[in-house]
Amino acid sequence: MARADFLKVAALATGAVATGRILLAGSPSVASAARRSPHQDRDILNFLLLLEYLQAAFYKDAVNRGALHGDLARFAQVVAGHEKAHVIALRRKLGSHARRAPAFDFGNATSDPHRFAAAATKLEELAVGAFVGQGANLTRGAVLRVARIASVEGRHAAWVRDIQTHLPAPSAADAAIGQHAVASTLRALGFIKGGAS
Amino acid sequence: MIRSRAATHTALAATGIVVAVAVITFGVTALAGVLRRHQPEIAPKRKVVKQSRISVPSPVHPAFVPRNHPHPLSGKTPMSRWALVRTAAVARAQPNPSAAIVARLATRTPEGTANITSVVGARQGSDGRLWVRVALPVLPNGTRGWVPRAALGGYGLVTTRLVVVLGSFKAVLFRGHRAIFKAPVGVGKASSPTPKGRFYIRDKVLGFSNPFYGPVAFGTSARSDSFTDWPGGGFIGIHGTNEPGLIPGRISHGCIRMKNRDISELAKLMPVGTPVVIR
Amino acid sequence: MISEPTIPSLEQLDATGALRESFAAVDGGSRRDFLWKGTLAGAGFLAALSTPAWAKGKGPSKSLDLLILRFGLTFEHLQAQFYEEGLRIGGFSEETKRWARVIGAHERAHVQIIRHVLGPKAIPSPFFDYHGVTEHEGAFTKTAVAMEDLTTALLIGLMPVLDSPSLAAALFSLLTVEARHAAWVRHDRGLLPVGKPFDDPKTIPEVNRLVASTHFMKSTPKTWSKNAPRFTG
Repeated sequence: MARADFLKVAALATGAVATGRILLAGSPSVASAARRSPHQDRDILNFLLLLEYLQAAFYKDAVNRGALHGDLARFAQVVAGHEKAHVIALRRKLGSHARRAPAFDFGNATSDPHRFAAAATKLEELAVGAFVGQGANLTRGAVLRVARIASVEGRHAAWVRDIQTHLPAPSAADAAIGQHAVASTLRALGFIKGGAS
Repeated sequence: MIRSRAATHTALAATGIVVAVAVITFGVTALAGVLRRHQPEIAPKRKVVKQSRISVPSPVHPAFVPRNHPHPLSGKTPMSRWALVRTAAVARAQPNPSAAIVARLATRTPEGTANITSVVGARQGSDGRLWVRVALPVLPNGTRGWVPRAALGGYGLVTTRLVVVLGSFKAVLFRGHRAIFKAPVGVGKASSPTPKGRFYIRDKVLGFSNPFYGPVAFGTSARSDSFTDWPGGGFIGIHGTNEPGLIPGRISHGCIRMKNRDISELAKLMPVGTPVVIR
Repeated sequence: MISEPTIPSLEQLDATGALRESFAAVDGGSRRDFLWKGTLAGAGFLAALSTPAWAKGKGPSKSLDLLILRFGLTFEHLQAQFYEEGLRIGGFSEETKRWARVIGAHERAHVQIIRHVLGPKAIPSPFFDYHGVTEHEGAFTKTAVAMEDLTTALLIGLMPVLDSPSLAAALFSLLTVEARHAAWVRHDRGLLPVGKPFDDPKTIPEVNRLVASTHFMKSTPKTWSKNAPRFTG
């Protein structure tokens, strides 16, 4: 009902779209959002929690190894604290439903500065896309917490890109990354040790 | 921080088994294939999703998506700026509170509209404040002066520019580098010539009933050198006419006249603040 | 006039803790009531937004989404023109121009798409007076930081009150971009790009009050008249 009202507003703008893309009613994914529920929230938060575990462990490992210098070292130090706080916040929200952290193996990605910067960028972009993708699926009871983390992941991504003199904000809107794309990126990164969870 | 850790530990202790179950199922889903990262080329594609109790919905399609990689603003399109005269101000010869007075700027025009001025430069004055150089609607035409930035309001930015060529009785409106409007014009007689120079559109007058001016009249910052005691100051206008047969030609008291159809079209295209070059 | 931008930092505002309390109340369930009351209490910014649907007694959810989109449009206008003006007249360093060009282009893209979505319900851009901050590199940069942080806070604050999932999805994809902008400018300025693990939310009335306090938004100067012209003819 509420959604339909919005779509009516949006539907006033029909026809050719010169400046962007507008997607309206009838999409199955829009319909799926009607199924927002606390149960679904738990799945989503656990999905996001995995990424936070991964990031927290990644930066903690980088800080512990102490092989980074300058901007990157500062980045790792600051972000390690943030990701840990994100883990704690999501776990607190999930309570007894929180998944446990898997075991990780970062190889030299937490000691070699170039590999670290590249991997950190991938992890942050992955987090941004995953948070963007799931935010609208959450109930009102959970969305604020996740939004407050999503923007911080965006800041991390911009920061680590800027350190490498990459464009910190490459597009006017960040695209969602779905669950399967997240999983395949994680596979490609290979940081999560099999069976460890 | 302490509170968070305590809460986490409590939760963990209370519900270890549930967590373990959730973790295993989720791990299978999200991490499929990770297990075999050392020999990915032989890893079979497994349909692990079906086994999962934890799977998250597809991202919701956004209501709108902006153009994703817009061109960075180049700042290269020609653009002019104008500013509202916020408080009555004195324009000086230099950006210096004790420099010679060139003109006084009122907050209203003789037409009762908000007075605006065309900004042509800016720099820090001798008093450490920002001053801007503005085109002044005074005689002699082309007078410039410096006013404190604080006397002006916000800037309006325009990409349009009107060029009037007296010799060929033509007016051309440019937007950026592109001519978007052309019309024949009537200009000042030999006894009351239209002044040449760089001016700007000050205001737009419409809805009045005086057929002599046609449906719309723009006020410019240019002034007649011949009719200095004209009511309202002798400002040069750009307006319509009730004698279209006289256009093109040297027919006016200095104003730029267009056929009514043309001035109505121009009124849709030319914002106030547009620079006017008369040559 | 030109030395200090007038947007206070978010940290200053958060010091009151009022916002967290507000949101605690919001999580209690009366989100709509909260936004509603807050909106009516807000000054300045919302004066620019006409809300005919409310007056006609139509459903609140529709007017809420409409309000949010209109508010967003006005806010994006505020930012888009800020960068455009700074680039045009600021005479800034190449480092500053680099981010201002890209961020300005993003804000302009946001204006275009929201205006398109609103169609005939779009409201025209207000007239802006940045009080000299677009003409002074230090003030410009400082204001850009405050503005991007504020946009981030606004988008976060909107999430719990949105009715439409597709609108939420669109705003999430803008949220992380505005946060990137904030981090980018902060980093360029030598500030910590991200000071806290969680960004704080702001409600529309909060943002409204803040923007009103800057006096950046003005009514358009009345440069037209119906008085008979007195040009020389």
